[in-house]
Amino acid sequence: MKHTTVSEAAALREDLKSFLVVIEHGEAVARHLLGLDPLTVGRDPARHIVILDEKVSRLHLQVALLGGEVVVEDLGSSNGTFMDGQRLSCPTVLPPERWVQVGSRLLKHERRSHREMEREAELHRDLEKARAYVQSLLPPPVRTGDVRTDWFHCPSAALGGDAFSYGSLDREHLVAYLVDVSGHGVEAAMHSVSVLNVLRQKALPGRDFRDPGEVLEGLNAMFQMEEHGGLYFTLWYGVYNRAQRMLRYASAGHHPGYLFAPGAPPEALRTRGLMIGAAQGQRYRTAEAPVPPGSVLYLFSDGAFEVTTPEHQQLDLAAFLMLLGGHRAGTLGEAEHIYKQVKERARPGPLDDDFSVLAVSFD
Amino acid sequence: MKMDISEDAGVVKVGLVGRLDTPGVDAVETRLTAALVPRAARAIVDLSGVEFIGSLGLRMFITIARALTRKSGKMVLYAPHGFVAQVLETAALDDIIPVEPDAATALAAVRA
Repeated sequence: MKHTTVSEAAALREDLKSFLVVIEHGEAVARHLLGLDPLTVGRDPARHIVILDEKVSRLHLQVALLGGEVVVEDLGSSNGTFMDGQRLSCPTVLPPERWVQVGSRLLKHERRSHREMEREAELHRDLEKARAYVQSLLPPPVRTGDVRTDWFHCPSAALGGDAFSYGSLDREHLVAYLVDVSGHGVEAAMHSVSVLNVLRQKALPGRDFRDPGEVLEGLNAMFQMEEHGGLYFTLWYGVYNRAQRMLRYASAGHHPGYLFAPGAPPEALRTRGLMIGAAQGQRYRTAEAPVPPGSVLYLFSDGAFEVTTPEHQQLDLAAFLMLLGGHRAGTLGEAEHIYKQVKERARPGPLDDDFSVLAVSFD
Repeated sequence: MKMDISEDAGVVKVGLVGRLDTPGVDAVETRLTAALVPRAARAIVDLSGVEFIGSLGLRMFITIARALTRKSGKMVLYAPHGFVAQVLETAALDDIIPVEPDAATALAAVRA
């Protein structure tokens, strides 16, 4: 074990710098280095730190580094600056690891060394690489032909485990699926990539990829959570037979896919089955549904509807289906429009989880 | 996230209140696992105070249930409602962990 010497510890202390971290809904969204000049905070775009919140004044407060201490001063804001529930009435020292509240945001004082900052930046870069890798594996939308696709995928800040794909199995059969791995971060994203690659390469020996239940059983045998870092995943998998206009499908721990046929209420397509990896020897049933001309099939992750509103209510599946019902026939950019509508209903800031919507339109 | 653990006639009773999201799971997982798994407990877990459960919450229950099963212990969940009940049903969690409507049926199930 390497021990830090007294001189090394002193060097580390000298290297520590003060940062003001903006925290929104429990997540750090920005980090500002405190230097010789005070940082101003307010709603006005001219401030160093701009907070778009109606409870924040145009010029709300300033934060200065004075004699090695961080000092917060409210500049006569309408709604105040609070520390430990008390409204600040004079310049106040903000010790490390403490915060003040401004509207719905927290401003936290963090002391970090150059080495810690580098480490964090490295982690962030890894996350960005993983995000780019997942995105590169998603297939391009299909804009022509008798079956078209449109999708929108927006990873969360922490990067979730959503992935999806579609394509031809043979001349008669098309496949579409959506995977959602438990948890967040590089680990979840890489697990979703592993699953996607197995499905894309049809790497389940002895399994018929036209049989959804058989595919789920093969994946469950391959991806037991104890052998994969404690990760499980949910999955919706469907195969469309062009000649028969029939969709065969199976799901594992996933909410339904929804088939919107002209003039009919949305049909929930789900078979009851445990998440993949949670227990060995699970059986998965295959069901089927006819696909009338002009239908649209929507697959989506739970991050599309498990969204918190500004009133701290949960947008639910029923509300999300209302949004889907307002759209028709896989028009260009439709999935992105659905995302924008969800964002309009969500509290400000990034969504908590990956957002994935895949729309498959049938002539 | 709040958690109460007590014991009555050989059954460990766990009460959870709050959100089983990432911070909520972080707050209780180690203590809950330590309270149940090493002793191969028979446990009932009251979910009536849980208003949200995410994938990490499900993973926590699955991991504990699998560890208990290997040691001949058992865990039964009860009284989920609203969003939580919907998530448990979607996940088909009761295929591997019994989910009961109330404390009395949970007690009967854990002693069975």
